[in-house]
Amino acid sequence: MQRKLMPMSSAVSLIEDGQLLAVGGSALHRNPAVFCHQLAKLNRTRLRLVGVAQGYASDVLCAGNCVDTVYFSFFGFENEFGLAPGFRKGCQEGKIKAVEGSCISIIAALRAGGYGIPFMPVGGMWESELLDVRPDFFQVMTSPFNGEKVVVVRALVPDWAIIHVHEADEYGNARIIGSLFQDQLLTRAARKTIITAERIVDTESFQINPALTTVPHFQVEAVVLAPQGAKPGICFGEYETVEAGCMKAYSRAIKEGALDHFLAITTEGRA
Amino acid sequence: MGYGPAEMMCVALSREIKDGDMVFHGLASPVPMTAVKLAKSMGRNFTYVNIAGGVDPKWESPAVTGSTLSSNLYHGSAATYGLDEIMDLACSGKLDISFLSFVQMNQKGEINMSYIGGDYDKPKLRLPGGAGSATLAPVTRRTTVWKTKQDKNSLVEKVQFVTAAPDPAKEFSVITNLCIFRLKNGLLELESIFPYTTLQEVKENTGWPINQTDVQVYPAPTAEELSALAEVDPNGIRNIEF
Repeated sequence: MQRKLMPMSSAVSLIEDGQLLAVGGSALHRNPAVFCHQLAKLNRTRLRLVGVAQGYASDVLCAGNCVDTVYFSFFGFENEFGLAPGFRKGCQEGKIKAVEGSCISIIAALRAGGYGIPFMPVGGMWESELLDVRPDFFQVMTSPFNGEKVVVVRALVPDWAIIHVHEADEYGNARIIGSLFQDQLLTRAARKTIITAERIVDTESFQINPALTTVPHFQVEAVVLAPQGAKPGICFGEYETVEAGCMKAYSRAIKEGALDHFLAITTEGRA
Repeated sequence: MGYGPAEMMCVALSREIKDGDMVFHGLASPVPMTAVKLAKSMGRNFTYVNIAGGVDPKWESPAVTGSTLSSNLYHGSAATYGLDEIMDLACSGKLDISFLSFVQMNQKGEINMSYIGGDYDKPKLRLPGGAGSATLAPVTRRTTVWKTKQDKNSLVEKVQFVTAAPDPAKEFSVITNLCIFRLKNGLLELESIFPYTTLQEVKENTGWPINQTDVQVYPAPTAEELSALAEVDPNGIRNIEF
């Protein structure tokens, strides 16, 4: 096993223009938020994002004009926190191409990517106009076995899965406690994974019960210690309420075109 | 004991759940989450799965946030079951109820959760997306759609875009703050109105013509239901959507 622990600045600099990023978590839960704050400051362009239910971390990249395509089934913050302003603005200005699927279409595209096959059939989707507007992602096929019509989605192979976890060791073994959302799938589909972690722990703690390891070291390229790395969102069992003040400041910054200022304040004192 | 639309809707959604059902709702779903807790409290015997990965989490613990991805939907589960697995359950015909919502819906039960105004590539308002609905509406045995604010902007003659469409061969119902519609022969029919409204008010807040001159009134929440609701939702999470 190779040591992969590195500072946040080294990890974010691995991301290149035009790459496809699978962003972990769901809505305002366990996003790699601190990673995306730092990445947004690098002004990368033409990034593509994939995630089933994307939220704050992805939105920061959209707001930073780093993104040109998003594959998603939901993109928002839930309830009182509302729509995702960066994504919404990017779409409404025609700068971001929205490739909306249902949850299972995005999941199936990632499964196909991880399985090494070019596309995958999915259930349901009948009569949905999502099929009509994105023929580069959805097609309808006939089963070669019984002639049944089936919707298929094109495989997605993310260049990176970026996930925030509770515990990792310096080699990249990583453990999520509580809700996994689709994070394990993201790492299985992606070429490589970047882990940000609340805590760095001993390898021995993984060896005691390997079935509880969410991601094995060999899939991981970088490990970053990032306590409170999902804030202003929630991390299961660590901090369980959204920092409403920060979310308000974020929305205001986007309205006023002051994302740089917001990022400068939010990342002050963090490596 | 008094009640309003929030209590009426939680009760109506909970009554859709039958013994033996496999029940799912997605994120941003405080009303269905509360309805599930209420149905459990009323002794209904069913299995509940959700995006937090919980399988029958401890319903007695009150929710403290309206987010339906929170640890409240996970703690006390004896197993976990992820969203990918839940979608597989649905597609293979093993899901009895999904609770979905919408921004616009027409009389065929077609749902728009994608955009309003402009066109798909440059919308006037980009909406969050339909999440699981395009898959779930056609494959789930019984789909129940809820909407806390029924008006002519939500129940419309023509949707801007069809994000998801029901399968007319399956059961499909709509529960709003005013009334209940059910899909019959491919069209939504007004089935009943809540005790605090009138047929006239429902007509005025529906974007397609309702020709009925009479309609049954849905049974009000019972005292037992209202006291169970107060107990499972002391923090009033159900009100977040109103």
